[in-house]
Amino acid sequence: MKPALNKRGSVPAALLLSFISAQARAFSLWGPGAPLPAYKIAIVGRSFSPAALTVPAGQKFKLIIFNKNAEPSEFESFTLHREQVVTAGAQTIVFLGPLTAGSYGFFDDFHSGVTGTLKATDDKPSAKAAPAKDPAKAKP
Amino acid sequence: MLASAIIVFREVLEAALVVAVILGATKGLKGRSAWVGWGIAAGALGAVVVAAFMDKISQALSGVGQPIFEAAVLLAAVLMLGWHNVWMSRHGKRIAQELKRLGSEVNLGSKSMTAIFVATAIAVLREGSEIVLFLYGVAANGAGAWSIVLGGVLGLLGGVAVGFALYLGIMKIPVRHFFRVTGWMILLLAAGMASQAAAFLNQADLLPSIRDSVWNTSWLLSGQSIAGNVLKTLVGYTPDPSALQLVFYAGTILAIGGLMKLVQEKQKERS
Repeated sequence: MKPALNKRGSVPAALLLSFISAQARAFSLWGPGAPLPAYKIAIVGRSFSPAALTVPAGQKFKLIIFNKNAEPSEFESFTLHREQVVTAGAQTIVFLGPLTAGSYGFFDDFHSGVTGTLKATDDKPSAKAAPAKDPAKAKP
Repeated sequence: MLASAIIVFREVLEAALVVAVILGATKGLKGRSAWVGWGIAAGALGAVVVAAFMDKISQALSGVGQPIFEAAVLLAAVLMLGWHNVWMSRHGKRIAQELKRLGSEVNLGSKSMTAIFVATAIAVLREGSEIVLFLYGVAANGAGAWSIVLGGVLGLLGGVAVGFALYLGIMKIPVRHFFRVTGWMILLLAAGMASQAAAFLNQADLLPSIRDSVWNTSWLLSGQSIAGNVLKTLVGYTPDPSALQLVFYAGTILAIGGLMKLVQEKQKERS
């Protein structure tokens, strides 16, 4: 069940907001089908832990980011199109996927040099046959 | 110091470019500097408030409050810019004539300037809240705070300087083309914001991306470069847009552009 694509830009902001918040609540309370698998990552000191995370390609999942520091960080990735502040000592959820198999870099926008990698992989023990994909086409 | 200068520069630059386009596009309107100035002030104040409540915002709406807030604020800015453009397609000609004839500014009332005020405030608020959070972290960290604050000031000055250069460039556009060019600039600015809002709605898991990376031009211009960032702000450049972003981008251009056309046709009929 996908949310309808409203006519954007022309929709009054208030209407759009109420639509959005209603959707947000609906999604979290009942969720579209099975609950999404969750992966956890923490920002500890000046590094991501773990700095490399492997996730299945081709399916949606949640990335839960913990900030163990006493200062805010911003999880950001150009290839994943994500940008989300994680306040001091808090956690945040970033929805991701379905991803094409490949490696995706992310970083802490508030602290230069703090980086990590998300590896989306097709090879997982699964009863279903993996969809044929050209590995050469995967993102760098 | 360099790291903080770069981070602050990038955020200030984005806000400064938006403000420069808005300030340029309102040439000839009486009181525009004051409205934009108050917009900057309100945005700065809002940035501090948003940064202070970022915890609450993040946890709102079952943990997706932040991307939804970003999307809502961006879409509000899109509406304001769209409204301004439609309004200008009605009054632009008269303003251009007055500018050419008398070289004086036209007073069209404060109602028309509210959109400018809000759009400016939003641009400053979005980038400003990130700066506040970043600098708060620096302050909490303590060590070497002064050099980082100095870096922040340098970044601020650098960003404002680039925005000012863009503004001066816009003001050089000849009067007879002026409002057509600035109209397009505002239109593309709004479309880019709508596309960013689409990305945030997908980030909040509200809308499907439909298709990721419809194309990828990061070999030509990476989104991480300064030029890529400038183009992202001004025209919504994304090296690998999703289909959802493209739909929002095109939808915004069609919606605002269509309304502008409609208003212009009506004006022609009347005269």
